[in-house]
Amino acid sequence: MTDITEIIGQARAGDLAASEHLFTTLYDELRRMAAGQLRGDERMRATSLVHEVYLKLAHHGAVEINDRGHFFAVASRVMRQIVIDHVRARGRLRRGGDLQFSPLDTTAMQAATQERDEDVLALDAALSRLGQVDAPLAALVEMRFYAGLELAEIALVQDRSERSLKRDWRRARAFLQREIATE
Amino acid sequence: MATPGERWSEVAALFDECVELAPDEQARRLADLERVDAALAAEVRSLLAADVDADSLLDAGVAAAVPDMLTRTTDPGPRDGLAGPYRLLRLLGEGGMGVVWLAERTDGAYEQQVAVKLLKLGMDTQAILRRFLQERRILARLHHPHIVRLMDGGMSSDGRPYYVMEFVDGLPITEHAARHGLAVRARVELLAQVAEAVAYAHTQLIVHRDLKPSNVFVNRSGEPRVLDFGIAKLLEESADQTQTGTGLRVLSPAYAAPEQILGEAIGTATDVYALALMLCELLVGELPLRRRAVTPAQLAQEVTHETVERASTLASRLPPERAGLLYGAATDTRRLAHQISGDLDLIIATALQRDPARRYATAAAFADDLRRWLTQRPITARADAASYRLLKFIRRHRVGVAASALIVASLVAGLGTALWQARRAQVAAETALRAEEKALQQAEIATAVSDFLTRDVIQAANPYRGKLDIRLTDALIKAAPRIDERFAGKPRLAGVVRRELADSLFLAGELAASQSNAEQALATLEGAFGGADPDVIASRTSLTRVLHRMDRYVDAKLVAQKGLDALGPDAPPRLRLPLQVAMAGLEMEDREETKAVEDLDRLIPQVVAEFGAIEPVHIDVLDHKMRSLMGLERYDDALAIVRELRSGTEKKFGVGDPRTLEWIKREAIILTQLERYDEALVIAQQACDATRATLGENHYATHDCNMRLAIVQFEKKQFGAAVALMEPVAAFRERTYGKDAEGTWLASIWLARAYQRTDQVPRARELFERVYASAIRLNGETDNKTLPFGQTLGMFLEQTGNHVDAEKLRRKLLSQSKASLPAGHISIAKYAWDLGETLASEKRDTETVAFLEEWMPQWDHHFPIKDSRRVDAHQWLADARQRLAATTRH
Repeated sequence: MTDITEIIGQARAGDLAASEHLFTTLYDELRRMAAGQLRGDERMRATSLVHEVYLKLAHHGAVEINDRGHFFAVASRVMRQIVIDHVRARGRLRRGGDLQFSPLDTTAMQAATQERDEDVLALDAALSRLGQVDAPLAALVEMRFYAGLELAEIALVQDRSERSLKRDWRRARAFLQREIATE
Repeated sequence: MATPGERWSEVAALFDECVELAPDEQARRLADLERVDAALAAEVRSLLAADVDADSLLDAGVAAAVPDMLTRTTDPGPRDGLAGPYRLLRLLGEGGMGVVWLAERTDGAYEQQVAVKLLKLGMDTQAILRRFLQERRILARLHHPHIVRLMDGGMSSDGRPYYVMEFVDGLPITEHAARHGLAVRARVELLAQVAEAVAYAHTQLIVHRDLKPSNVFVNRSGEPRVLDFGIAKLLEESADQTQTGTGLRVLSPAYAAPEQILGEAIGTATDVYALALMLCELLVGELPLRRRAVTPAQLAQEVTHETVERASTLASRLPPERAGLLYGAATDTRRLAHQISGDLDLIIATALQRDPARRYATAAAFADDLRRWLTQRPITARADAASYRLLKFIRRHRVGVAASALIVASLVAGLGTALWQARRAQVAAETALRAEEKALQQAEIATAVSDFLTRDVIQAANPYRGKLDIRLTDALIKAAPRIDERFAGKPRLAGVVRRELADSLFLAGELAASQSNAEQALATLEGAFGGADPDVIASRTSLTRVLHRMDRYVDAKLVAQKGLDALGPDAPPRLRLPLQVAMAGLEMEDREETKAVEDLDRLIPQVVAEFGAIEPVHIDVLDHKMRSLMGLERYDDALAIVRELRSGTEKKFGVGDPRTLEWIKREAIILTQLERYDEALVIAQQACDATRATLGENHYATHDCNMRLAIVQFEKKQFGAAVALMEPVAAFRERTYGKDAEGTWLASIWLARAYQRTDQVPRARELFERVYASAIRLNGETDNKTLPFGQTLGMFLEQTGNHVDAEKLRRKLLSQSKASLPAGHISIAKYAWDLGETLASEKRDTETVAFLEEWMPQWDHHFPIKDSRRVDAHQWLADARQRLAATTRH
């Protein structure tokens, strides 16, 4: 595996191929880890996935702090993609397949899942609209919601105050809530 | 006009400002803004409103929104924090339908901490509730040191059922092994214990179906516990109770066996598969197959085509740091790979076969092989590999192989394993022999047997070398003389192989060949090892069985008694029991059925304790008991035994297996006997469906089954249906067995009988005559085996009013039977009775009276008092005498 630091550096410098490479590497890793959740370890959360992949890829040494911010941003976007792919796949499945992945599926559970999945897709659409008007805010949502990172942690890698991030988060949440409600 | 970005910056700043304000200040600020820019104010307002409404979806994070993908939702538990007398302390985990809490008694009745499993909120649908209670019922049934113990149960204050289990304070098995840097042997030992626990559950007819590291914890003392029987299945449930019928479907994709993913039948072999995956993960930290599929369709596709990597290959590829995490620093992956390669690889591969029938049949067999590996004995998977080659051969040439072939095949396939078992018993008896010596001897036997099977038997049956449809039985008989040559100077091998051959031939119905091989085996072994040798005793059991079936009761008793005498009263039950069972079975032939039943009842628990249920000796003892009960006309009791055997063999061998079908057939026969035709019909139909499903429409066993079904239909007078079923059977048998084969004749006769009753008398006659002619051609006109086919034709002629032809034939048969059978034989009486019937119907009274008077003593002797033949004969005689008397008077 190429040194991840190098790739992040290139990606940050605008190298599209490096960006692409970083994204797919992270996608494979994170999806594999997320799939690992299906294998039963129920204690792991989204946060630990992102952390784990970070530790795994950066095993040659510390990644520079700026690069780390970029890394988490990309990893969070990847998580968003994985979640959406998962939910969409399940939607296709609901329409066509007859086999369920969860350990126990009942009609009631399926209905609940379906409802939640629709919420997740609506949120994704709203988030895309937010990204058009305020990309950094959308990235924050990705990190907080999809990757499960704490605001304090994001503050650290983005070199911002936690207070201002809290304000950003509240605003983003209001924007998304309004978008979903007026859908 | 501002760009959307600029406009948003404005909105954002205003929102940030307003959201911090107290409500009245906020209202004032917005009112001011409205006067300047109404649209802007409206937008800020809408955001502020949304801020108030904002639900928890975003704050809770994606884990809550897509729980099945990441982490599970949490359940707050009952408001009072109690489940009956237990205080809930901390959430331990969540499953699909339940949450598990660490808890302790509130009343201090005992101090131990426990795990309380509580039905999840909103999960109280009937189906879930049933399953939840089911798990509780299953756990209550299981008492094993390595299965989590059920302690209590009840209903919480918010009306949710819960149950209390022992709390296992420890780690999942894989983590435990890594944490303690366990060596390979320790890991195998640990998994053997788990497999034994699962095997125990299997004996309680419970399949776990969801074995994976997170369901197997190891406590602080290093003892494993199997947890979470949440989706376990009771084997006695019908499939629809547990599967799609209630909408429940079970799957942990990474650990699921192919049959689970593909929705095929699930049995004990499903758990064997999961155990092997766990073993592999335990040894090399990863699974031997990578399932990447996201959708079920992909998964099904993947499973159909997946290849399993060898565990040792995975070990050799382990990066040093991962190996370090697994086994501790400085682990040599090459050494690790070397340790795993060979037997462990083979054990895992055998348990991971795509076809469940090719895996270890039970977790016990799997555990056994792990134990063998641990004690450096040869594993059975090696012997199975040879017999598998044979089975594969049989499958490939299925069409050309005759009726008994599959039975023989499955037995010969077991030959290798049976040898191991025999060896094990012997090893136990011969403690003097040193361990290495034993191992050597076993390995030698495995190789020799495998050679014999593959070279002598398979090659003899190889259609590319010989004629195309050689029967496997013939191949076995042909191979028999080669035993002495192949095993020259090795009396143990020669004897054991010959005995196994005798057993196989016995089950194929080749009694004479079986007897001669059993006798030779006995002579060889006894000559070399003396009378009390375990293999000699086993040969006596085999020989007794054949002689019994050949109605040579006195000889059979002699053979068994000699064995018992040689053993003496203090011999281990393992050696004595089979002979005692055989002796008890012989009692019924002396019309001592009541005593036989008593003796057998005494033996049954000992047999089960010694050999286990549904092992050959157990099947023998139940078979004897069933026959004795039939002799006592206690059909209902006989039926109960047959049902026990049927469900046992069904579980052990599967529904379509010849060893199971035997009992299904018997059940149908007894039900027919009890004139419970409707039930018999259901059983027969069931058997046919099962057989067709496993073996296909055009398999001999499917046709056999259809024939039995047709016979029941015949009894139910559904003659049209019987014709429809029998026509393909007869055609198939003629095609496969040839015109001149007994199997073909039997099918033709039933078809002819059905024709006879559906107004197709000419067709029926043609068939009856054809069969008789064929029997004459094959065995000669006066042979005992030919006469019954003549008799069948005679019966048909008589029943269809063809008295002249019937008389001619029946006279001939009577004189032929007199010539070929010993005087006073029951069959002669039967042929005589047939002729008597014709004479009586022709009303040639003088002749009839003379004939009937001559034979009546024979019939009275042979036929039971209420037998319809005896009753009829007396009636004919009375009628004829009466008519004669009337004529004389006039």
